Amino acid sequence: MLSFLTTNTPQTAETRPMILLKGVTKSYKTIAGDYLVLKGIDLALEAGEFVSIVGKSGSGKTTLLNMITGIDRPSSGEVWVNNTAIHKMSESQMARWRGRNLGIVFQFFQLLPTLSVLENIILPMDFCGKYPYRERKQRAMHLLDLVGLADRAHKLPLALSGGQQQRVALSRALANDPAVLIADEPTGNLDSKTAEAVFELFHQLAGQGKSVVIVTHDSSLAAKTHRTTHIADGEIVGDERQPVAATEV
Amino acid sequence: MSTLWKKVLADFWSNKTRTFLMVLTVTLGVFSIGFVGNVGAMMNRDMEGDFNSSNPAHAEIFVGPFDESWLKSLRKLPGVKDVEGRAQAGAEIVKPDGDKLRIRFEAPKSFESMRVNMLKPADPLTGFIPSVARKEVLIDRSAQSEFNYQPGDIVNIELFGGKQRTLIFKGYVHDVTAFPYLMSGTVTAYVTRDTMEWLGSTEDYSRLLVSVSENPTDAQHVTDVAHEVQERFRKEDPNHETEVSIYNPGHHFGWQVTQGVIFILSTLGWLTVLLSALLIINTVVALMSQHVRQIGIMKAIGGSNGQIFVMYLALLLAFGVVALVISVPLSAWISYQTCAFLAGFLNYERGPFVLEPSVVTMQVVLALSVPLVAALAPLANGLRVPVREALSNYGIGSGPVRQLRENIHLDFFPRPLLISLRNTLRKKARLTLTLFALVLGGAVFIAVFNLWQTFDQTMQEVQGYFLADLNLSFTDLHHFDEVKAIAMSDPSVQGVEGWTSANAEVMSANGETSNEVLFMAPPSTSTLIQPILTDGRWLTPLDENAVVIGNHLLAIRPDLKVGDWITIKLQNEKKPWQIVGIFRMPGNVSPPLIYTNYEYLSQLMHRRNKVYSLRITTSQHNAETQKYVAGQLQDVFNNKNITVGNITQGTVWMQQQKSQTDVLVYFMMIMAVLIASVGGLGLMGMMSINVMERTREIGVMRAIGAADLDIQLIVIAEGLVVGLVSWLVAIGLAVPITYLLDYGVGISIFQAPLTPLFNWTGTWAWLGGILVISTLASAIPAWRASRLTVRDTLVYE
Repeated sequence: MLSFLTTNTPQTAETRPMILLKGVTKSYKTIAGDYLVLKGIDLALEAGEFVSIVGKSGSGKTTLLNMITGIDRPSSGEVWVNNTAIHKMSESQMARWRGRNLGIVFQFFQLLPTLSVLENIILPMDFCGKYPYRERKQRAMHLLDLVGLADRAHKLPLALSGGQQQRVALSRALANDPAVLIADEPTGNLDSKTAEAVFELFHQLAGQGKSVVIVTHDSSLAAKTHRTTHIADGEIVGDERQPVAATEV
Repeated sequence: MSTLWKKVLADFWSNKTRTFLMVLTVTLGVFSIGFVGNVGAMMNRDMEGDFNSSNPAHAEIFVGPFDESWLKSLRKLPGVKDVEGRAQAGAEIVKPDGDKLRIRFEAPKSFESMRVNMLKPADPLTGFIPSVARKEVLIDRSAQSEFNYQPGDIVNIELFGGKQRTLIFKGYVHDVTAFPYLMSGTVTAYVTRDTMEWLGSTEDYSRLLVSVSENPTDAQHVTDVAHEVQERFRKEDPNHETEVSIYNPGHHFGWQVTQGVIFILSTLGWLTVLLSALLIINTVVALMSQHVRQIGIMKAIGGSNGQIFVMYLALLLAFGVVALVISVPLSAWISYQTCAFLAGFLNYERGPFVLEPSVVTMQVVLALSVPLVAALAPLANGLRVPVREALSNYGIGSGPVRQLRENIHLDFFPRPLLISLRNTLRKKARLTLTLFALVLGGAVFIAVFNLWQTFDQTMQEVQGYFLADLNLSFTDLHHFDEVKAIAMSDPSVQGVEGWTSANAEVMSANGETSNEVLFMAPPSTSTLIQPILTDGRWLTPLDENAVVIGNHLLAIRPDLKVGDWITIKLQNEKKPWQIVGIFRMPGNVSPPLIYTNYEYLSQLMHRRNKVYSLRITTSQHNAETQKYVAGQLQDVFNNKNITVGNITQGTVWMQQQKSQTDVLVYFMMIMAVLIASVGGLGLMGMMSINVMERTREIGVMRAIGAADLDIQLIVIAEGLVVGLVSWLVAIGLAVPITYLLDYGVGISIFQAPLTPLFNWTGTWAWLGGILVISTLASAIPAWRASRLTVRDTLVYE
């Protein structure tokens, strides 16, 4: 079943890692003055890696994720994803590039409430036009089937439980078969059984050569990934690779 | 269908309140323009079409008796297309209930040979005009509502002098050139020339209809041609009295006023469009703020700004298309029904129902462009929100209320009302646009009421020139003392004045051209005239060759001023007169009136102490007394063998004048209500958006103990505060709008600016209106707010 996901995975001969952050800083202007959230982050993540970014609330982990997804721009430094300097891209270029190269799973799912589950998954394909029109619905159904929700395809998101919405969000993230999958607290709203299934899926995707990056504050979950990067006060304070056995679910 | 369009469709359908308000807002604007545009186009088409198809006379010349032999030579005059003579006579028609109405008989050479001011079938579907023989009569259909005559019925006529005649009713006809009964109070009827003789008049013509061969709408050209014809009569007999009447040649008598009214209504219509555009901005700003996260998500999953922009444009177009589908047929249908009323009122034939291409085109352009243009800026702003901000927009919003809280102490208000007051000021731009719409709507509403008052005042001003309770005219000259004594013999008669009038010409400075005028000569001690002087003074008993001219003469001779000496040709004799004053009389008066003393004019015309008419005051000034005394006087004079040509009751005349201006006010009121509705919609839209945006706050309030009624009152109080503030501002704005409206209406309808008047009726009426509108506009959002549960509002996501 998973072979379906790899049909269009780009096989580039780039010299850079799949995700590369060089000297990334980010500060926000507040009434009290500039507030530095990221303080010179250097990070390289390879294709096929399943990485967790761990830190306490306010440590800067979501900001770091936003740097990788291009949702936010660094104040200084470079962000390269899939051999593209995304820190130089305009907002509009970024949207199209992101749709084709990144899959994002938001903490609160962020499904469009007025579209059905199936339509939510087709929407990125319609935006990016990566797949022929006639294939889109079939592909979306396959992705739903993958997360066990094919029978809910025509429901509205609000008719689904939190866990089900999370799985739909995952399907949507995979719609354009991105090289990189980013997830913010992907299991935060799931029961343990569903969380395990999701983690299994992440492992399989990484096995197919995709880079999977998750943000979590749960160290026990982080321990199940290939690599854990610790962030505190806007700085990377630890970067450790788990033994192979530990990553097996 | 692509999911992009499915989302557009879902957005259109999912929030029905918003869709309803948007569609209704656009609909009102597009409807207003369609309504005014259609009424204007239909009226211009039907009124002018019907009028011109009757081959109308461009000038009418009232002249002493003449016969058919004159016409042949007149037709050969340069510029003359055709001429036709009409015999005419006046009398009264006695209704079955005994009421009497004035009736004017006309007789052409023959009904078959009519070439000018042609009659048409009353019902175009039947397509024929009943044939008329001696002692038979046709009646203009504009008086049809007064009678229930069927062909063959007897029509009782009372001639001047009291003789009774009976005519056989043959049917109704349509004379588009006749002044309709509803406006003149005179029934127009048609008989053969031999019947005319039987009715106490003669077979001879007294009215010459002239149509010109070219430039029929050029008043100067038509005047020149008419003067040529007039000269022909004078050459034959220098003492031949002639009077030329020309009023907007080539156009229906209602045309000029109609143009003015349509212009004013169009202005109000465009105002409605402007207001709906402002409200669309409000709604789209709110839509964008509600959709900011959705837009962020779409961008996050690959949607470009262009794609999202097009999606929202399509959504706005959908609102416009629905509004268009509703407003085009609705405005056309209501316009058509309105035209049915106007056609009856102004006595023209309404044409078939046709969608006016130019109006529909305008509506299409407006319905599709107004939402798009109004939404461009808020849409662009909405799309500019970065994805990060769009996705991190959580929690209860903190509006800019600090200023109010810190600086203004309103502790004496109940706490929930304080919440309402502070809520009101949270979205200042939205509040400003809504207030603007409500204020403008209210100000126009109040101004229309003021205009109504001004109309009443104007009518009173007009009445100042016609103060008598009864205007009684004789068919012959009589000694004033004699007729006065007869009139005074009636105990209900309080006072009698003898007036005279005469047609004359005011010569131009070089003496080559002239303008027709009508001398009005009240006695120098008259108490039955209260003129409004704009310059100079009124006549004194010592004045002889002094005249007071009016705004109507000034309109065609703007060079004249107080102190000028002018040459006036009266009974073929030219004499110098000095202008001692200028009066203002609202309304269209043709030919222009000029006032001089009766004593001097009657002496000049060798009619000293003789009168054609009496102006009478009665003990009571109501309609019943006037009617009773009129009947009594008719009998008294008949008994003395003095023929009374006509008696006009002051109240009846006034009511006829007022009915015309009332129609105008009704139309303005419709537009004011439309504008006010847009304002109300704006408030409803604002309150709905506010409730939607404050869902979480409402949840918090419910969590800490607010009951349904508390929530509802907070929302309704906010709506009422906005409504009341708008009312206060509208009172102020109504002042300049009243000035503008009075100026525009005055110039376009009365040929002179109206004097603005202000009264409180409109202000209080609008207070009632705004309270109702505010309550209704906030009631639905308030109800929706009170239906929200804590779980809905706080547990969501």
